[in-house]
Amino acid sequence: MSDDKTEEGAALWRRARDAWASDHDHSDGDAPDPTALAAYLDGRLPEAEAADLEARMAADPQFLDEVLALRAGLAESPQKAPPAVIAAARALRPDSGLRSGAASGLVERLFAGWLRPAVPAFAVLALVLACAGAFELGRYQSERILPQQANGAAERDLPDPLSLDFFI
Amino acid sequence: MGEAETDLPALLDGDKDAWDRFVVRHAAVIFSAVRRRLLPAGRSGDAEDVVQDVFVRLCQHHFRLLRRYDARRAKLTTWLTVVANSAAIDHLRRHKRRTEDIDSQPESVLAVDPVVPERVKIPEGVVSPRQALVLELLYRRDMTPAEAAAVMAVDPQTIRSMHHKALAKLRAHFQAEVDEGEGG
Repeated sequence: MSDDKTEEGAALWRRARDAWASDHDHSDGDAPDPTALAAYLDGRLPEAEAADLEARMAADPQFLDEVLALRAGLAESPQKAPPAVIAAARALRPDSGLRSGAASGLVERLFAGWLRPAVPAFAVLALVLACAGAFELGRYQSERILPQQANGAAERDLPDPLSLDFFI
Repeated sequence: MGEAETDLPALLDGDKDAWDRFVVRHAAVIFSAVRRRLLPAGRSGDAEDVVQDVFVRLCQHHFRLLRRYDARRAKLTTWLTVVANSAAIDHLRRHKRRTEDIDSQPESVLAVDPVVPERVKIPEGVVSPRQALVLELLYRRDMTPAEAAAVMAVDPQTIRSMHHKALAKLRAHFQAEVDEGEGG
């Protein structure tokens, strides 16, 4: 043992871990907030929040592995991304010529803000209007057809001698 | 302009040029983080898909995810590395669920009581979380105080101090247990 580490220290920590071993997941949720984790990695997380993360790191070896891997990765120089990746990511946002940022942002916000929740209401309204229209159309058609049918029936019921042609 | 302040306001306002600059500047960080996470699982070939997924997540719903970034708390590159790493983990989980073949699983995975990683529940009042982490890094991860200090972003002397205090507390804790056992 070196660097101030002792055999006794190793034995004590081994004994503590054995005594405190737990089958249950005591972590607070599945994943920590990315901003909190990034702040911790940058050494900017306030002490109280850092203590929460460090408690999880001490208790959960898998999570500690993740943090150590992230820290090691941040120390490396990033690898260049393939041009196809960059082109595909750039294409995710439409060209400025096709879309004016502020205006379309306003429309998007408007749509996301209150128009989108109203879509089901619009659908129901459209259905009601369609039903009402169909009903009115049916009524109109029946009003046109019934007198004709009535006239036809009347004509059929009348004896030829009473037809106008008869008098003429 | 600093890397963290990559004209984010313009980007969040829908400026296409700002988005393009953001992509060109940070694609390498995202790609590296994703590839690093996928490589040990033998899935580095999926890196391009996952990177695209990260960019989609960043810009969808009017940049909802990107708006959560706080430049006062962390560097943008660090934050993007964490986000990309999480996306890669999600991808591996999804892939694992889709392709898991019951015959290829070791018995420990299929057991009624699966073997879980050796988590611990540190009792309150014995050692602080920071002290426990110091002991974990020094003894189970076999780090030097300088290496542990780099992980926890503190001075190596702080690590040494926490190490000695933690050991003193552990000694006292176990001695008290012995005394209670003998007394009772």
